[in-house]
Amino acid sequence: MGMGRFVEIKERLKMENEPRERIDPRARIVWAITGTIWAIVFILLASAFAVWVLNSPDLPSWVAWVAIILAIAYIPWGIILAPWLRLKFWRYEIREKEIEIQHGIFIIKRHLIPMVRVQHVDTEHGPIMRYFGLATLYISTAATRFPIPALPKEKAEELRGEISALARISDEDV
Amino acid sequence: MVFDTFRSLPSQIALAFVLSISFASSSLITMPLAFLGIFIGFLAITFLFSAIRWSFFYYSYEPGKIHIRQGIFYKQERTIKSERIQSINVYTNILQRAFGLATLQIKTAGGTAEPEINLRALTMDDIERIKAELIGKDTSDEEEEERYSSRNLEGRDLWLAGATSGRFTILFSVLAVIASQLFPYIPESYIEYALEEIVSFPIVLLVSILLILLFLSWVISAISFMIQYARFNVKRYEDRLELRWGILRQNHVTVALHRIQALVVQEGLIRQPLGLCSLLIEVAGGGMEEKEQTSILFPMLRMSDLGGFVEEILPEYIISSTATALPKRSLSRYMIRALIPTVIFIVLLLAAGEIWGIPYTGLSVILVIPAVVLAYSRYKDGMTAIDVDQLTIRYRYVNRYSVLVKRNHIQSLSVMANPIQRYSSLRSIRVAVLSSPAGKNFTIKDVDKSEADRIWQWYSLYE
Repeated sequence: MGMGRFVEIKERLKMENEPRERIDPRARIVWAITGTIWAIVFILLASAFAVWVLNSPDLPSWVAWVAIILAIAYIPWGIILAPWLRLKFWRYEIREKEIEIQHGIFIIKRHLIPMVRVQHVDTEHGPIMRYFGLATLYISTAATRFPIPALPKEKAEELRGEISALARISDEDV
Repeated sequence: MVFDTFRSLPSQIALAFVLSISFASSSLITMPLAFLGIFIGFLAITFLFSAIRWSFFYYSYEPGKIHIRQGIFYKQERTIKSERIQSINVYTNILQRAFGLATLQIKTAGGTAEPEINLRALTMDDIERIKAELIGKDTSDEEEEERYSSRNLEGRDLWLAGATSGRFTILFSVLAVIASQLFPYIPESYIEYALEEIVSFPIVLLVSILLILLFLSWVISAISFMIQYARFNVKRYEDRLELRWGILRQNHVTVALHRIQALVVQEGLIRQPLGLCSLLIEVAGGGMEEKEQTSILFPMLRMSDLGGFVEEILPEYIISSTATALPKRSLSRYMIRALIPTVIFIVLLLAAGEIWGIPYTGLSVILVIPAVVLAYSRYKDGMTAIDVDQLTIRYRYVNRYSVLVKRNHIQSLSVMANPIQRYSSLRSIRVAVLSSPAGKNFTIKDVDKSEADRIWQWYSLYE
């Protein structure tokens, strides 16, 4: 009974007809590194805040501990859980007439961009992405811009050419 | 034509006045003559500056392009080709009309630093000639033959539009400006005295003074709305809309049909119970200024007349009759979304009242009532519809909006779901359209999953 209920909930939370392609699994490492940097920043900030709270006589000491606990709780979230969930949900599919993108951690978003609306495609890579030979592909319409992160560099270039051709964008007309 | 200098006369007088108050504040009372001298001096300088600037402004035109040269020290030259022009609008204010002049505004596609140029102080003949050269046809001759349908906002409807415009604040903002200017010159003892007096007033009197001020502000706001939109006229030609309105400042705006990205029916809080609405259009391209004005299609309309109006002026759009309402199970989500911030606010207020001993904070519990009412009407008003190539979404934040958008004007479609929505088969839908200056999103929350899938497939089947 309990197990059946669990399976039912899991079944309901699933996304159906997910786009076919996944991004590079190394994205998880990239996000984990970013998460580590943030974790360090949060712990430093929380420690500074805690020292300030403990030294001022008016404030109760539990405020300091709450800040410390929150910062420590970010470690498993930012380094393990969030990158894992994000990678799990990141999907894309490039069809002849449209692009479909899915992403999210809690709120799963799915975008549909017709090829004829694509105005330009460009690639970008930050320092960590570049170290792993990864790049982010940006797809822009006249009103919106969508990233597909962590694609192997060659793959990103290939997709850029493919989308440009399908969308009939000339490279000069950007 | 030095008349050009008069074009911004009111703002120049105001500027000179403020400047001379700041420079001669001490002499305002003791030496009125010195004050007057400074005032006139400033005015003369701004006049002179305008005149010089005017004399350095040149323009020339030929079929297909217009050339502008301006600047006293920093020369600026610009050529605009007609294919870059998004719209040509004409504005006149009361002073310009006294001299038979008008401002021609040419808006170009974005991307450049200055999306628009203004040729001030042209005669109407000049304007017609320039328009003819740039557009490539003689508009003055053809106008009579071209077919169009036309709608006016006049008489009683204009009054009604002003009274229900939902603007209340004009008097208060004017009072605030005056107060902020005069405040430094009022002796402190006066202010203290006044504050003491006000506090000792009976509360009934204070409330009625406030109500009278509010009423006055409403009357003034209504009248200013009526002056702003007086003689509103919209004409639909084959390929464009022409909008004209205003007495003091006359506006003539042309919107090419292909630039219209969405039609929005806005039902304000005051208008909706009276069965009234206003129509807005989302327009692509053009400058950032005047945005609010170019996006008004009609200031006020009866809902019963909406279908007829759209059929006459924008028959490309359909007032849908096949709406899909939100499923019952999304009501609880709308309630929770509205109540959480309200409850947090009340708890904070109660806590603050407890700590600092502020009286009457308990009354804030009443806020739950409007929150529940708003949540319920947001749920009830939520609606989606598909009619051939058109998507209609209706939603409420405070006002109720119905957004009508064609499939080929949707830049991208997004469907979103958090775990709770996924558990109860609900989705939020977001539609992105092109609108100046940047894109604009319209979102409806907690639509049935089957309806979201239907919209997704409708959009996906394109071509």
